Amino acid sequence: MIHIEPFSYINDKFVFNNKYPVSTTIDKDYIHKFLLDNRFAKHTQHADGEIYKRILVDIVSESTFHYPYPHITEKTTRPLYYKKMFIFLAPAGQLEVLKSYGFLTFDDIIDESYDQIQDPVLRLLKVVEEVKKICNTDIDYLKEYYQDNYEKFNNNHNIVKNLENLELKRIKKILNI
Amino acid sequence: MPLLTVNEKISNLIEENFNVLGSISLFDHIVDNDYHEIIDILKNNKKDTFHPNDRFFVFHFDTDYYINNNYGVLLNNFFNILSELDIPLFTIIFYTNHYGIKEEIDYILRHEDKNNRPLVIENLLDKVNFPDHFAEGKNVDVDLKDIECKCLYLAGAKSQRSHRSIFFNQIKEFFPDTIMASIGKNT
Repeated sequence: MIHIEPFSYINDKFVFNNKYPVSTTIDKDYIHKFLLDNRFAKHTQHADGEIYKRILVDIVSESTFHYPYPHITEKTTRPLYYKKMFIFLAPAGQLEVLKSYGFLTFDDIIDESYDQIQDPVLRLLKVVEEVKKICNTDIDYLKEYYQDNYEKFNNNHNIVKNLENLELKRIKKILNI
Repeated sequence: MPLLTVNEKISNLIEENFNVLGSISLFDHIVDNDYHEIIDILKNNKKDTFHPNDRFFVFHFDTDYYINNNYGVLLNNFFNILSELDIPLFTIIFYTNHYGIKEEIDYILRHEDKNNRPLVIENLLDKVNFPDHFAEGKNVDVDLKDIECKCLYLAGAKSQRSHRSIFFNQIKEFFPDTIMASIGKNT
């Protein structure tokens, strides 16, 4: 048996070398006014449709990042359900898993090569780069993209809506029943 | 009931088709390195001879701890417990939202017969990933007039996750107008 110290998230600690000086601490809570006004609890499980009506792109901060494989949680299923563009701060390979379910992604507007980068530092920096690119894109262009690609969002929403049946069917096949 | 638990239809499907000896929400039963709850469930339901349809239904939706990325510490310990209690691996259905854990389990069990493996089901369904209202068909269409920010970044408050705070510090020039964000302090 191997013993660990409780709450020492070994998997989550990674070291930036001098080439990439970054701050790893937050010294006070930060919450956007809209989220505060809508009594949004900081626990992300409480995010609901009201929040998603106000944004175009969800920067999904998954539970894990420096992790050997994708660990997909509700943080990922929400933008798919609420018809949003997404970029994942997550382990490598997450987009590949989602594509295997038939989810459509946004590689014509976001460079999704970050998903293939195994090195956690380089992957994080690539996600930062892509987020900055989106933030510097004209909002009208993003809205136009949203309208022009509505079928993609609808496709993703419908897959999540039918996920229960889809997974039941898949599991029956695995169990040979 | 643990928050991270299996969708009811999946549990029913398993129970209808197997003789479930016990259900184990893996990390809900481990507190401060204490594995006695898991050991008790396994010991209390162990048989001298298992029937081919007997199963332990094990689910794993939480995060593990990794040392040098070889294998998860708690996962390793769980399989050691099975070995110590002489529980055959065919009795284990391992249900998880970790896509790729099968290779890790193969690594942990590398000294076992290759035919002696648990059945691993990687999937997206737990009660949190798929809340009841997702199946209701509610209209979630977006009215572009309502858009206030380009992006959302919800980074939680409960756990200290270094990737979240590092990322937060990298993009905060865009708060609050371009990115709607939320994060708890971690100092």
